[in-house]
Order: sequence, then structure tokens, then C-alpha cells
Amino acid sequence: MILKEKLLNKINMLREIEKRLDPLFGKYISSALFFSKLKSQDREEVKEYFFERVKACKAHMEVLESIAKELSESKDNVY
Amino acid sequence: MIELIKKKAGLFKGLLIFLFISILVYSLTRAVFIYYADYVPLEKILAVIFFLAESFVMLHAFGYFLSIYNLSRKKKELAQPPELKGFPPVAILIPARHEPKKVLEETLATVYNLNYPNKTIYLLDDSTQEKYRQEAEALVSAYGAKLFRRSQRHGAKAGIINDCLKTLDDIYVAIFDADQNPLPDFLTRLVPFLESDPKLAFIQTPQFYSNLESSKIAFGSNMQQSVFYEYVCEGKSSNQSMICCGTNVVLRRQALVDVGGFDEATVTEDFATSFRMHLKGWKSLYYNHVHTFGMGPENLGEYFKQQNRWALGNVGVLRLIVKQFFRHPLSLKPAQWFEYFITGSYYLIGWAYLSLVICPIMYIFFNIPSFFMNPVVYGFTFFPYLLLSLAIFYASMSGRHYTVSQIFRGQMLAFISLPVYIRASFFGFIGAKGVFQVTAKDGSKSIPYYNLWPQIFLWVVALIAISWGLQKFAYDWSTASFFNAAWVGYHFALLSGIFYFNELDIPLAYRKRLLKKAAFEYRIIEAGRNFLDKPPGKLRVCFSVYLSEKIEPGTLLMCKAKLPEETATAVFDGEVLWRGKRSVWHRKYKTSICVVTVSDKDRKLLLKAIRK
Repeated sequence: MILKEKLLNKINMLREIEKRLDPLFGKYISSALFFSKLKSQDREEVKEYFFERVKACKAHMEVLESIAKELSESKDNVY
Repeated sequence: MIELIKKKAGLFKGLLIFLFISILVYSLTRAVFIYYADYVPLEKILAVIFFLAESFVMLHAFGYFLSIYNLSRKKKELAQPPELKGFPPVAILIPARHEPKKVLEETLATVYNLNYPNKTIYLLDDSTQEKYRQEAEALVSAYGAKLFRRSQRHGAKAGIINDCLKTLDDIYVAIFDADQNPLPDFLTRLVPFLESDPKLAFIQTPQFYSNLESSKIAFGSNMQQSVFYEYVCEGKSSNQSMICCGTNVVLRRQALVDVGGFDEATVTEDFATSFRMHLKGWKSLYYNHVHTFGMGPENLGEYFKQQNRWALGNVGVLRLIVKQFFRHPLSLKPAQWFEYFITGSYYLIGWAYLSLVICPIMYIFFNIPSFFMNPVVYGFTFFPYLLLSLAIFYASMSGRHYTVSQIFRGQMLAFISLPVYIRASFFGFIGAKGVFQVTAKDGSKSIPYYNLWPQIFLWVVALIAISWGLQKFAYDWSTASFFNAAWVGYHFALLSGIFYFNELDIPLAYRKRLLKKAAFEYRIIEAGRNFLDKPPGKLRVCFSVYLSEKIEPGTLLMCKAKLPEETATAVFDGEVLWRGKRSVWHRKYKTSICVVTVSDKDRKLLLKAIRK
């Protein structure tokens, strides 16, 4: 069992991690691709995968946001 | 390339032997010519200095090629040991002093994100300014890390790690500099190696700069690092002489305690500590997979500061190595001694560069020869070495996907650091301790050119020497004039790097105007699908906007813009880098802006637009 405040903190933390790491790792992948010598088509493919990942991360953030909203509006204090 | 090297191990061995013979033949011929040449003492002294400089470069080149050969002998890639059954405790140490909050936060977030369950994060905060102390406290509380501070400051980074070590009982210690961001599997990949070999003191991974697209210095610096991390480290690892690089490393706490912690007497504590560990019979390993991304120095000042620290520390440790060698020559294997000597002496390269620059100039201006050799003999003895070494070097680096132009930029950056290397190695040689200075990560600033007078002076002299030398050649058709002028030309090209690397971020002519008119510079973090081919961070644009809300550097905001080379309007999510007053200008990306928003609601709407 966990208290509402603690759970909310954890969820906010996860949101923060998603928010920060997504552009950060995107930047790193881009730097690594710079030296990859992949053909432009392959490079585009990698970027396409990356774009999907970015979308997944954003979706995670939205899910976490909705959970946090639901929790904060709920009257229960223990989960 | 590695596969090619392994397949062609016999060929590489043959080339290496041929290279060794060519170095030997050239050196012996040079020595004989110097000894028997009928010249005055001053000329002979100059000739000996020149010969020593050449020998130094050849020795280090040979060390590099030996690393490639060692790599070719490796039967297979480093096998990943079996997966962990349990997770031994790991303390993650992040030493920091006056680090920008954003840099520190990114590191804490990535470390928090490591998928290793039994970890404790320690922020070793050595800041004295209240602002940074408060930021550190807020960050550790947000990321569930532990804050470590000390009452008495000693030994800089090594000192605070040692102080913290006394309070730990974890089996392993991972160290990350404040600007190094590990990938999630960093520990799960590395800890099994340490678990499978109890004599393994540490496992080191490479450094990779992620800001190489936005900074020429970081790019050049990354190229230099690449030469070291791609082959040299692999060679060292196979000779049991891989050194700890102070970050992106996991150490066995027991090994650290065994050598009395990190060496606090030097500014390159990692190098000195590795040496002590090897002396005590501990082993080390290099894992050549990028598992951490970081930021390289973004301006010449920071780069020189970093190189100064490394040169000062390494030459200081070289004293220790030489002393130990004469006292206890059997305490390490010959290959280990060779590797340590090569690493410790690398930064004496500044003296070698200086000699190589000055001697041809002396010949052109004053007819003082330092190269007593018949041009035909020179051609037959020197060119095999030169061509072979260049071919192997560029082939090995291009095998790892580096282009000639990229490698040359790395060489230029090393060459223009010659005054820094000379000064630092001199102080290192006389035993000056130096002060540990952190490499700043908060944007680029150029150095005033009057502070770069040694490089500029050499550049100007080289320029005059080229024209003088060519004029001489046109007059006397002497091959000596031609060769000397050609060498000066090569050095001149390398020295020109001072203008390439010290370029102002904003062109000088427009700088004043920009400060008055530009609104802000903007770095794109995420762009719409049609802009995905532009690497984030590469495209920097100045936008013309009238803002009702206050915008500070670091603010995330969304823009809709049409750039000159594109036909469609695109949406960007990005970060403000710098703020001016209003209006806009940018030479390359002269553009107009349709929408700028900072409100959360609008950002969400525009994010949806991006995804569509």
C-alpha cells in the first residue's frame, strides 16, 4: 500500500524522467547516427523508429498525466 | 574494419614489421648523417633537437600501430559474461562543483533511469556558492539521491571521492562526471565483468561527445578522443595497462581501498591510481561500446583548460612512472611499462611540434640546416615510413567511419594546443601540482586573439616562410628549399586551425547589431516529420517575434516557421539558447515566424500537429 501523496510524487517523477530523457536520448542517437555511415535510406529508417519511440514516450507521459489527474481528484488516500 | 584487421592479421603483422624496419632505417640513417656531417655546433644542436622530435613522433606512431596489431591478434570480441544471478550493491558517484542545474539534472535523470535495481546515487557536491548548493539539495531530493558534502576541502575530485568512499560499503563504485549521461543498461552490462573476475579492479567505457554537431571544438576534441578510445585503449586493455579515465567507469571498491583511494597528489588522479592498481597486481578492462554520452568543451578556453590539466597531470605521473621503473623494473611487465611510458609522455608532444615547426623555418630564413641528409636518401628512407604510417592511420580510422577531413580537424586542434602542452608539461616536469578545474558546459565564448599570440606569431612567421621558401626554390631549384617550404606549408595549414576553432558564434561584423536586434536564438529539440533529417541541435535559428511573455534561456517553447531552403511551414519544439531584445537576424536562416507560443495548452496543440 502506498499513500496518495507518495504515489503522486512517483508518478510525477516518472513524467519528469520521460520528459527529460526523451529529447536527451534523441540528441544522442542523432549524434551517433552522424558517424554511422548508414545509407540515407537506412538512416531515415532509424529516424522513423526513433520517431515512433518519441511518440510512445509522449503517449506514456499523457497516460501518466491522466493517472495523476485521476489520483489528485480522488478522495482515497491509500492505494 | 576490426573484422578486416582480424582477417588480415598476417598482412597487418607484415606491414607493422615493414613499418618498424622503415623507422629503424630512417632513424639510423639520420643518426649517421648527423654524426658525420661537417657542420658547426649550433647546427648540430638544432639537428639533434629536430631528430629527437621526429623520434618522439615515430615512437608514439609505433605505439599506435602496435595497438592495432594487438587488436588483430585478439581471437574474438570481448564475450559478455553470464547474466547476474543477484545484483551486488553499486554506489554511483557524481562529483560536481558549480555545475549548471540543467547539466546536473540531466545526469541525475539518466542515472536514476539505469535499469540496475541495487544502486544508490550519491551527488558529491563540492560547491561553495550558495546558489549551486541550493540547486544540488533540490535535485537530490527530486531524484531520490543522497547528498555528500565535506567540511574540509582537499584533493579536489579525488579528495571528495575518497572522503565519500570512507562512508560506503557497496561492492562496486560507478563514477560519472556531472555532464556524462549513461544509457539505461550501463550497469547491467558492466557489473557482470567485475563479478566474473575478482582480480578485475575496474572496467572502463569510452567517452562520446554529443554536442559535436553544435560545436567545432567539441567535434575536434571528439576526434582526438576517438583516436584514443578506438584503438589505443583496446591495445592497452590487451596489455593489462588500460587506465581509468575518471568517468564512465565501474570500480571494485576493494581495489580502490587497496591503493589508498584515488591519488590526490595529481590532477589526473585516474591515471596515477590506475598505475598504482597495476603495480599491486590488479587487472583492468576496456569495454569498447559507447554506453555514456557527454558534453565536450565548447570553446577554446575550456578546451585549453582541459588539455592543460591532462598534460600537467600526465607529465607529473610520468615522473612517478620513471622513478618506479628505475627502482623496481620488474614490478610491471615490459608491455605495461611501454604503455605507461607512452601514455605519460604523450603531452610532451608540444615540444616535438615546436621543434618540427621551427627547424624548417630556420633553414628557410637563415640557411641553418637541421636535416643533414641528401634529398635522394631522404626520399628513399623517409617516404616509406611516412606513406606507410599515414596509410595505416587513415585506414584504421576510416574503418571506424571517420573521414580524412574529420581526422584532420582533430589534428589541427591538437596542433594549436602546442603552447598549452609546452607550458603544462614544463610545470608537470618540475613537479608543480596545478589546480583541478572543471570544464564548463554553459555555452561558447571565443578567446581574444591577443591571448593566442604564440599561435598567431607562429602562423605569421610560417606564412612569410612559405613565400620566402618558394621564392628560394624558384631561384635555386634546390630540393631542400622545396621540402622545407612544403613542411612549413603543412604546419601553416594546421596552425590555421586557430581561426577555424576560435570563430565567434555570431559573426563579428553582426555581433553588435545582433545584441541590439535579435530576439533569441533557438535550438530545435524536436521538429515536425518533414524536418526529421535535421539532427536536433544542429539547426540554430534566430526568430523574429514580439513576445508578451518573458523568455529566458532554457525556456522550452514551440514555433511555427518557414525556413528558406524549405517550402512548407514546419513546427518545432525547442529551447531558447540566448535572449536579446526584439526583432531578428540570422545570416543563414533569415526567416519569418508565424506563431510562437509558450503556454502549455498551445504547446499541446502544436505537439499534436507535429505528430500528424
